[in-house]
Amino acid sequence: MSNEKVLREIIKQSGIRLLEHNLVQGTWGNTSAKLNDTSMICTPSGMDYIRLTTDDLSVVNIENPKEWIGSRKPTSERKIHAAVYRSCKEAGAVIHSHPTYCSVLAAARVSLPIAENLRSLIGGDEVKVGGYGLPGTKKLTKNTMEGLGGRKAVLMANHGVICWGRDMDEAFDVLKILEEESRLFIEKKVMEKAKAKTFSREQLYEIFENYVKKA
Amino acid sequence: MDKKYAGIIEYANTLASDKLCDKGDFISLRDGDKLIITKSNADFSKLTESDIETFALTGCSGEAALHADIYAARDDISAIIHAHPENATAASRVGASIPAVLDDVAQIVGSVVKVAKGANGGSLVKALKGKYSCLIKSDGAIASGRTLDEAHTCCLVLEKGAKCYIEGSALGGAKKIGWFDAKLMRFVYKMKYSKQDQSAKMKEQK
Repeated sequence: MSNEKVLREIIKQSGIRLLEHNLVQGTWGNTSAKLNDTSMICTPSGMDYIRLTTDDLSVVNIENPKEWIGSRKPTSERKIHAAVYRSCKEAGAVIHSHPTYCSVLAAARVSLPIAENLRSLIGGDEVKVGGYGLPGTKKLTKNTMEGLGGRKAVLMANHGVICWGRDMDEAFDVLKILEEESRLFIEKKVMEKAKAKTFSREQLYEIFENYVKKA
Repeated sequence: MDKKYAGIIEYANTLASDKLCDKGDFISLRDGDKLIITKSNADFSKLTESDIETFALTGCSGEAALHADIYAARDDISAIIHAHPENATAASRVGASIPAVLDDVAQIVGSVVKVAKGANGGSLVKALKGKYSCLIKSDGAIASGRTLDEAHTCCLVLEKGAKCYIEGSALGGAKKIGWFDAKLMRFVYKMKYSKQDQSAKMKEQK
């Protein structure tokens, strides 16, 4: 199989993996893989991951993501994917998704601290939240890239997450670790507020009820 | 088996395995001047044809009447899920509306998930105005859409949005999306982003 055929298959499977691990809902999110120094292969806009075939993927110019070849319009977030490949030369695959616990931090616009043993994988001691921008806009690309810095992931304000790896497997490793670390971080915050040693939903609901009363 | 019955069974299974639905919940589909709905206390993980019934849109009662009122008021809704997922239900208990704090919530659900004061058609239609989802005071939530596929995604996103709003309260509070941005995204979602995918699925569901 040619390199392009292999990558197309990997991208098709990545959509299924996102759904299976509940890292995205519906047709949102998108993934890509670098084909060569000037082009990447991207998932289409608004298409069901289960129905997606390798022929639905497009080849997009990394230098000018307005240029693309394929049967379906590639994701409107291809500008961010292209910007990641341009600024992170090691990147081989990019995932944009909406996992639940990362979304909690993204909605609260709170950065995720990264434990020491994970810093070499993530490329830093925290994952920042980029500034808000409407989906598909230049502003979102600019804010997201500023938040990414040299790291392998960034939370997108009120939206989700972008992460990359040298290949798709590494990008998934980064994504799954972020989701798990986000969950632990939120539980820790709840326990701190409740002055408790273990996490429970009841503590959380009490914090929430007080929050609603003040809001 | 009738295609619509089969569709309800398929999504009942999915919703049960997503932990969004359980006994006490309902799924319905519009079918011309009738509606097809699951029976009370049906087991979603083992749903069979005998757990589903068909009513005329006018003159039904109980849960079916709630769904019929929504179908009558909304041409853009053809599938409804009445569910009690953990976080949406927690917000419904407190009676707190959930502002959109995520873009996908603004798109598929709307700018805010309002709380219907009572489980009656009038309050539900009012709370759902321009949106695909609302909470019912102390009785879970409604998620809907043009197809069962869209109603299922709406339910997933509603529950995620509720979780972000609730858990965000421990992180200093989730930030609301601006009203105009939320309205704009809802419009783009319905008219452009989801159109091709949902049009194909609407044809299949007929």
